[in-house]
Amino acid sequence: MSEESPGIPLADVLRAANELVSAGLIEDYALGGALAAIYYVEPFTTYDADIVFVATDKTLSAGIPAIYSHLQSKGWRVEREHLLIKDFPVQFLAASGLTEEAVRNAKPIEYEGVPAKVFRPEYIIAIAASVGRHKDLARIAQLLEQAKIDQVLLEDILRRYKLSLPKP
Amino acid sequence: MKSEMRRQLAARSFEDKVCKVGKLIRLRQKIKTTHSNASADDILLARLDTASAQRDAGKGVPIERIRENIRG
Repeated sequence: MSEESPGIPLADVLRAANELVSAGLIEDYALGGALAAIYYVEPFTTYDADIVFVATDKTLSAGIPAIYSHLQSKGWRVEREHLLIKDFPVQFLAASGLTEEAVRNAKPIEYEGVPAKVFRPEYIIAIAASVGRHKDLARIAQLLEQAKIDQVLLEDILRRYKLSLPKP
Repeated sequence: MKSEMRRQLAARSFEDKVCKVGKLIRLRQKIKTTHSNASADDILLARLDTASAQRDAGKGVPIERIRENIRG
């Protein structure tokens, strides 16, 4: 994001994701990553938005070329693994397994009047536990401390995906 | 930061929190820019010091060489 940028254009990102659903390029999506965590916890710095989608195209490419082409036609730019809208980087990540379940069970929200979905905290914790980087472990601690967690759901997800939480 | 204050921040609207993240990003970029400018200043000062030392040593260093040293 450039210094002059007015802020994170999240409403534009979610609007674009909704358009991808309407155009049949993706089946469903949810906001994941750091911004999903921020929905439940105190704000912290992040440099991109993660849109996790269930692909309509079930081939290996998951329809990513068509998604990129559609967004580029709307003025988005490509920079390495990101698509940029108003200089803000966005990653479109194809869901599978745990992340697909997280998309399908995501919480419906409205952001600046735009309907969207965001990962539930139990799924954010499980995904963070499966990745296990230092920042993921910090995210788990933050969510356990600040978010309202459905313990039964969390334990069920962890058990089914053979995951465990780090020892405090 | 105290836990209670963090919980209060967490309870704010998503729109408000995303706005704060945007401000945090801009603040970090500003600090980074200021820091890299300071480094450039330090490098320039170091070059000037070297050039002055050569001139003051009375070694008859040609002015062109001093200019080159300052330019790096």
